[in-house]
Amino acid sequence: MLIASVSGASLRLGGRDVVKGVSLDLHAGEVVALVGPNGAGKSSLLRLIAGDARPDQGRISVCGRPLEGWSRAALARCRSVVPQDTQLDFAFTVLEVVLIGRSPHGTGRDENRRARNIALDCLERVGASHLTSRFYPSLSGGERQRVQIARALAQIDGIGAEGGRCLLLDEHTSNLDPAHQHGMFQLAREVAAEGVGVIAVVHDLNLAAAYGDRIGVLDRGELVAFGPPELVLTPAVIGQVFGLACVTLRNPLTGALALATAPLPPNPIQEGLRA
Amino acid sequence: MDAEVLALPVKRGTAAAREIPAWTRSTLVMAALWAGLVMVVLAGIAIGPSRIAPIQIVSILAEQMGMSLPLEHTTQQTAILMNIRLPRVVLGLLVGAALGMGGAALQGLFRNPLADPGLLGISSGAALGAVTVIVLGTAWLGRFSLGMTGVLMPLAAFMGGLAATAAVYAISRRHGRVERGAMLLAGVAVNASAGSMTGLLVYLSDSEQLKSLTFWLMGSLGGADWSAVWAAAPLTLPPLLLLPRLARALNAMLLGDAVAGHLGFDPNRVSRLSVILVTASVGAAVAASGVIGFIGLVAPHLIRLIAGPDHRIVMPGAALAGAILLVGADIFARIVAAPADLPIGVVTGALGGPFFIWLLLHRAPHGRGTC
Repeated sequence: MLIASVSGASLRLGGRDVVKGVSLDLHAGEVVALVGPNGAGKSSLLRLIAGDARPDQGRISVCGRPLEGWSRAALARCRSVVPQDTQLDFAFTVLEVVLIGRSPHGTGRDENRRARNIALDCLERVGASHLTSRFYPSLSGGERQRVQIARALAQIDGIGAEGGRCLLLDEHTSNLDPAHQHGMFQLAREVAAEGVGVIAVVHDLNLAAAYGDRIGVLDRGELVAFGPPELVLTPAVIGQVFGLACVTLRNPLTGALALATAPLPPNPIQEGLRA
Repeated sequence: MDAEVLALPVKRGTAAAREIPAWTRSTLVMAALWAGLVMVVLAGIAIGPSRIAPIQIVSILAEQMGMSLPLEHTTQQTAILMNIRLPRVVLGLLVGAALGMGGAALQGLFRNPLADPGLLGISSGAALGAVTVIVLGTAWLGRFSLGMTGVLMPLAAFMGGLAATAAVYAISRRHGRVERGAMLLAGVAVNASAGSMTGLLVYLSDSEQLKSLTFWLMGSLGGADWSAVWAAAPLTLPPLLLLPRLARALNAMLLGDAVAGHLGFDPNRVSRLSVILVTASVGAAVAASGVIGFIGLVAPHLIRLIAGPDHRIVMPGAALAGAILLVGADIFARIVAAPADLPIGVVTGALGGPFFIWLLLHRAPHGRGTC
């Protein structure tokens, strides 16, 4: 099932093309990882798919309908987003924060009980059950990030959406320790296995290679490569986009694609010119 | 602004509080607030310079409803109760509830625990309108104004508050969306301008005018009668019923506008609606009673402290708490220097200031009292 499709989408911000003619598709059960240098337009592309911004050109469909055809409330029942950072200074408990994720599903005695069960379940899935009654502002950055992931999971949990379900993750592991980084990407795979389409913006190329079914590489607003890790994360692409020397290998523990990178050796001709 | 600095957390035994399920706790809090409201209303109509026994109050009220109880009371007592004390208490309830819920809505909207209804320019604009009528009314309208002040002043106050908020709103609007950061700054600027003009008028006023405008600037329910209640009710009651419907959206917006949008809410619409509703209710409240500080700031804090920051409890809770605090402060203002009335802002400031200092001194890094 097609969960999201982007065709020829462009977005101009402040006189600059932050997204230029991007086309990609996302299927149910799939994890697509978006990589690229800072300012390449990864988050802007995610915002377009989330419906936060209207593309200047191109068409975007999510969960079986063009974005213009969705009401905010209805879209919120099948698509959830984990933003890069969330500020919350008011002393909600962790459980209350996750329950806010159930807002799109209305109220009532039944839904309230259901929401509570789903919220507790999602907290368990992100390994944050022990935080349930802690006050959110007292959490560390990594704990907050996991609670936000639980909130986003709760939002689209337990629904048989006919157009499918979509989870958008914007650097959802940026504040996590290595164990939790793997944990949250394993969770993304589990969620995908339940039929959700997942797009994750990620900086760590090895996480992208290990957990992405397909990788999209963005550079200055353009999608320069899109496909399975082995075909996309090549020394040529890494060199061109990131300016890094790169060797691909196999992770001896998992057999997954792994990348070793290093700064390119100084170019003698350029060095000479600079001198 | 730095939230860490603004936050006012308080140490409290949260472990025990957590044992009680959230819905039970909020039910208990609301029940306690309603009980407090009933008590303060009874106290408000029972306490005053001329003695009316509680049993006589019952018989007067019964008589008003067409029942005759075999209890003695004078027609003078009936008049005092029905025409002086009751409208004063009812107006106090409306004003207090409007200020409390207005403060709760704006603190949520601006994600700033120090926000209060004055932030949007309502109070300073209203003050300018009222002071203009007091000081320049006789000069412009001559004798004619004498009989009209009672009508003109609240009207000028309401229009002044509306104009100031409209200015704040227009300044902070960019590309069709209201930037709330800009709104805070625009509020400061509009408040400063209106404040300086009010200051100029105060400087120009004679001693008679000075006394009446001091009362207005410090707030008072002294002029309350049924016509003031009927003027304030149509503008304060609908927002009191409608604002709680925005509670879930405001909860989501505490996580940021983007997240609220992802959860299916329209943050722009919610901002616009809350500002309009708060302006109407607080504008009418200020027009009826003058500028009464601290209620809008303290009432929501109290509820968050006890029941947490969920707007579904904070908004109705702050309305009840505001009503209780204001009627309570008014009782105090009436009896402390009886038979004279103290301006009510003197009382709320005198009690609210130390309370806020107490909050500051007892803050814990993270807790229910945070904001």
